[in-house]
Amino acid sequence: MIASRSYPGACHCRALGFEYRTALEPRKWPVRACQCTFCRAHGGLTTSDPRGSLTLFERVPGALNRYRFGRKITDFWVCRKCGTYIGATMESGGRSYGIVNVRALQPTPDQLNEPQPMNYDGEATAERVSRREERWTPIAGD
Amino acid sequence: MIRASCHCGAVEIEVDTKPRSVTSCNCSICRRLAALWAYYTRREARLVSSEDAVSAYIWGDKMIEFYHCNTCGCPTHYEDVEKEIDSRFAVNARCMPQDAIAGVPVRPFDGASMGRTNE
Repeated sequence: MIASRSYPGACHCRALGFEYRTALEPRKWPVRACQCTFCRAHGGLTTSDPRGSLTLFERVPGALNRYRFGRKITDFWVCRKCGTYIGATMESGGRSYGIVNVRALQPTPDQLNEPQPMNYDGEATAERVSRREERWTPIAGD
Repeated sequence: MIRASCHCGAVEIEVDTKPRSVTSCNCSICRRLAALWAYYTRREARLVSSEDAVSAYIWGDKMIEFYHCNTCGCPTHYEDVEKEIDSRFAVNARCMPQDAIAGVPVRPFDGASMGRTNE
């Protein structure tokens, strides 16, 4: 069993941040370039590890914009002050799951994989939720 | 003319021409915003939606205002703090329709090695 490591991240002004823990080395991380309208507009590149853990936090009260659209099952964490998209969370069955935007990692790990374009347009909501339960990172403490 | 808009549509920008290229900068703010900057002057590009829909972020040497949508957070454009008619108006090409920027080359810019960092 390889010990997990912590990978911190933050928006530019540091009002929002996260701690992502995974035992995977960065060169083994999936890096996904979701092709939905939100992720394309934000240039989001996201990663997750279902065996890892994730905490997202708001350091400056009021800075967190939880943007929802479409099916409104996902909170996209955007900073109201600097405009950075740091990650997203979803609740299901009393637990929460999340992804982080690798562009907000600080520092950026070396040897990240080339982003893979992902298109989830055809998914039914139940399929989407179960995919995320399998692939996204559990939120710590849930 | 090309019309750019954020994800939720609250911010709309008009530009007169298709960009010849867009710039991808690796400095601490641009890498987070993931913006692809298309450069215009204030004569050639304009915010057509309400100014109330955007917020400006100013940091570092405080020369530039980075604007994003108050609703969906999309980075939409940046301007010089000191504005003149021909000063820069940079539009995030990720807000332009995909077919409008198809084939436009992306130019990398090494802003990080110029000390433009908060890290």
